[in-house]
Amino acid sequence: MGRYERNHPAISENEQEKLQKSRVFVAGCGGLGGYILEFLVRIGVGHITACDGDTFAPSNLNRQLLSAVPLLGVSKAKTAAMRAADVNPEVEVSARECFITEENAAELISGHDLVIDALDNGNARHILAKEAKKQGIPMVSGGISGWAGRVFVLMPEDEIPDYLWLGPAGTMRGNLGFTAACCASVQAAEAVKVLIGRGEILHGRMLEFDLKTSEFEDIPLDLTK
Amino acid sequence: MLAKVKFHCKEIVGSLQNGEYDIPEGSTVKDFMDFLQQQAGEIIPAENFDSMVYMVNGKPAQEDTLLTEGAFMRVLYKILGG
Repeated sequence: MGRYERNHPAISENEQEKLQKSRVFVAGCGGLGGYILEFLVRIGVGHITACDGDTFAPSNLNRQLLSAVPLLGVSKAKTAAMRAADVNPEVEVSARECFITEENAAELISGHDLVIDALDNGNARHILAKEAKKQGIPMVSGGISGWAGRVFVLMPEDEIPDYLWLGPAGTMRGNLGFTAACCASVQAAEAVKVLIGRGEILHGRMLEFDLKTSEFEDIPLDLTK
Repeated sequence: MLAKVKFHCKEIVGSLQNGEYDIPEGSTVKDFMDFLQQQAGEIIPAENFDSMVYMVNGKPAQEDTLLTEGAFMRVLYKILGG
C-alpha cells in the first residue's frame, strides 16, 4: 500500500480504488486550485485535469501554493502538472493552459466525473456551472474574499445560484493564504466524498466561514426552481 | 411586523446589527435595509451594496422583495476570489 497507507482506514481500499479511477477537472490553479490539486494528488485521485490560462505573478506569492520566485512568468497549469509528477507519479495530471470560455467549456470538462471550481470570477463560474449541469457532472464550488470563504456542491439537477456570482463584484478585500487553504481543504474533502459516494456533502447548503471571527456556518441553499 | 436579519458581511455593513426588528407591514428588503441604517445612525456607502446578496427565508431575494411577518433575511456578499 505504501504511499496511501495513512489514507486508511479513513478511506477504505475499495474507496481508494474508486479515487484512482476517478477523473476530476480543476478549474483554476491559483490560490484555491494549488491547494486542491495538492490534496487530490496526494490522496490518489487517478486522473486530474489542471486548467488555467494564467502565469505566476508577484501578487500570487502571498498565497498560491504552486507559486515561487523562480516560477514567475511560468504557466500555472504546467507547474501544477510538474508538481504532481514530483509528489505522486501514480496520478496522471494533464495541463490545459487556457481560461474557461463559452467556446471551450464543453470540450474541457467532457469525460470527467467531477468539476471543481477554483476560479476567481463570477462569469467563469457561471459558464462552468452551466456546462457541468448540461453534461450531468457535479461541481464543487468555492470562493474566498479576505478572511472569508464559501463552499457548496452543485448536482446536475440543481438550479444554478447565479445570484451568488454575477453582477458587480464590489470592493476587493484581498485574498489571504490561510483563507485559500481553508476553503480548498473543504472543497477537496467535498470532492472526495462525492467521488467515493460517502459522507454528508454540502448539497442544499453552503459552508461559509470567516477566519477573522472564527465563525463557520452551515447556511441552507435552495437550489430548486 | 417582526422580521429578523443576519449579516454575513459585517465588514461592509458597518455598525448594522443582527437581530429581530419591528418594521412596517409591506416592507421590502430595501425598506428593511433603510430602516436598519436609520436605527444604527449610519449610511452604508452605495458601492458596498454592489456585492450584497440577499436571501429571505432561504430563497434568493432582490431589493424589491416583499417581506412578510416572521421573515428571516440574510445579507451575504459575493465571495468570488480564488
